[in-house]
Amino acid sequence: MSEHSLIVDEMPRPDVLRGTLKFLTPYFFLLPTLIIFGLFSLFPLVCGGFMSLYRIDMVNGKWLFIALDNYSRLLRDPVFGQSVLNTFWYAIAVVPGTLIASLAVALFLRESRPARLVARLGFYIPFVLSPVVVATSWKWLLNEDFGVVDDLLRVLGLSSIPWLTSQFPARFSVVVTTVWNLVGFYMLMFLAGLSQIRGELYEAAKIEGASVLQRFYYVTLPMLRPTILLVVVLTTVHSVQAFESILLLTDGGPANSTRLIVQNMYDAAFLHLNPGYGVAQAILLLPVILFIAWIQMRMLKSEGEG
Amino acid sequence: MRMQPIRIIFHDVAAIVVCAIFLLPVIWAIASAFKPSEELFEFPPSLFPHHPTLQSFQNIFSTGDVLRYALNSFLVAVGSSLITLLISSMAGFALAKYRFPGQKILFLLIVGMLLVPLQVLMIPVFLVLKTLGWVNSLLGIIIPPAATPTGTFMLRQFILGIPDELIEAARLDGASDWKIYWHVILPLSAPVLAALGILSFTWRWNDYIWPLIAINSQDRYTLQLALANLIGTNTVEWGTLLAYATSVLLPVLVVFVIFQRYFLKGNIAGGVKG
Repeated sequence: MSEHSLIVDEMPRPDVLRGTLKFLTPYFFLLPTLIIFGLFSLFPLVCGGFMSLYRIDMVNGKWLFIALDNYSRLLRDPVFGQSVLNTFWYAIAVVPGTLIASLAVALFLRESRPARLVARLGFYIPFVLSPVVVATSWKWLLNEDFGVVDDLLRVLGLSSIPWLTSQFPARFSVVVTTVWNLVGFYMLMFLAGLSQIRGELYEAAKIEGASVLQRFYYVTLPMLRPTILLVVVLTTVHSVQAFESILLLTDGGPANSTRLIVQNMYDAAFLHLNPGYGVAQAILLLPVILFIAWIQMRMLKSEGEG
Repeated sequence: MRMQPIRIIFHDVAAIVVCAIFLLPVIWAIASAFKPSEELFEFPPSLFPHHPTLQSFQNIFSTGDVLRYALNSFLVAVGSSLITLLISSMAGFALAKYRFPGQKILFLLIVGMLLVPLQVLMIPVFLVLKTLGWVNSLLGIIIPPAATPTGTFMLRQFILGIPDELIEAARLDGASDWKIYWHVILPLSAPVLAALGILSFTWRWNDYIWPLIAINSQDRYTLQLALANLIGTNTVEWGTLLAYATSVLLPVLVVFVIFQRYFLKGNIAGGVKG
């Protein structure tokens, strides 16, 4: 007995150890994910705020504190101003363009018949292509000297259009490419939304003598309201941070007419080697993105409750 | 059956035709990759080559060390995806089957990362890569994108559905938490791991912005980065560029066609690209 009680006296120690280990286990499983997010999302978020207050020499690693100079310079920078306006117009075109196109395609392919399921897959394909591939194929299609689109215009007896090298056509092309890229993704969202609408609603409307258009306007549209809101938010987020395929398609040209904010940032940091100035633009952009994100969270939350 | 079959069939045919027109930019690019160079610029243009040739595909090899870039792309896509599977399932397990202080906040934090776009953070991210010495290293494009909120979320949702009794039984048999994760949770999560693995492979294969930030020496190029750099130069023939783009998109297209249901499901689950 006495021997045993001696052992019992020592028992708590491994228990405390085991207890601590047990307490730490879930954190251990989360650790790799948290480290990566911390290093490559959270820390850059905080670090960016500081960087925007410095003039940074990347080559020599020298940081010169200049307070708000980057910001005051930004406000006087016409190229930055233009990139903000460009981003605004880009969003104004891409958001409704994607919304209408993807809703139309979803309505068109609504029924689950084999041919339409195949067509749905087809419409989704651009979304799985890389920005580099998308840019390459559209640049081929639209290029000025021997682009297919211009060839077709000439076949029809029309004059060719410098799609990527003249201001308005370039803006138009960039928007069309973006919408083309995104349609399949949002089509699926709308198909999911449409599948939630009960068939009786349409039957009832039919009995009341509603035409196809009336049924769309009074049944489909109101029932799709949550999906439409979600699509608007997501496409806005996409427009505000658009960068990769435009960089490859027009490089922001001609005359900066398709230069969006993110490209301006990228150029400041990696072309003009002035990262502080680039980050300042990100910091100005961030409230916009966080505001949209906040709306998104609220919508998802109310959707979950409802 | 109330609608006339003719109308339904017409609608079906129209669906396929409209879809084909919609895909014309890709189809035309792929078809043109097989044209001899004089056919590329003929007027009026024709969609399909009269004399198909693989010349443009051979020309790709003169633009750089393409096999090296392909190997890099493959290493990045596979390596990063394997890490994604490992760490997402670990995090998903912790979030689904443990109760611990800070659980809710950590979950929201991880999902919230979806809302912080890399595009906006790329400058400080570059600084982090530089500090770690990962600039011009494949590590710089394998590790950072491996943690995806979509992945963690998918795994958490799936593991929530695994019955607690299985875990309890393993624990009674004296299995450690790691053993439970490795021998119980992982095998049972196979379906969702397959889905995430396939999605993640295509995401990483397609990545352009990470290599753009992290890589500038040629022997670390991925295919996407190498092709992107060629587009800007105007020194390479269009036929070669199109053959290049075709070769780069084919793996993704094949994976997509075979595993399409994962993509369509992931669309609803993830909401956003990871």
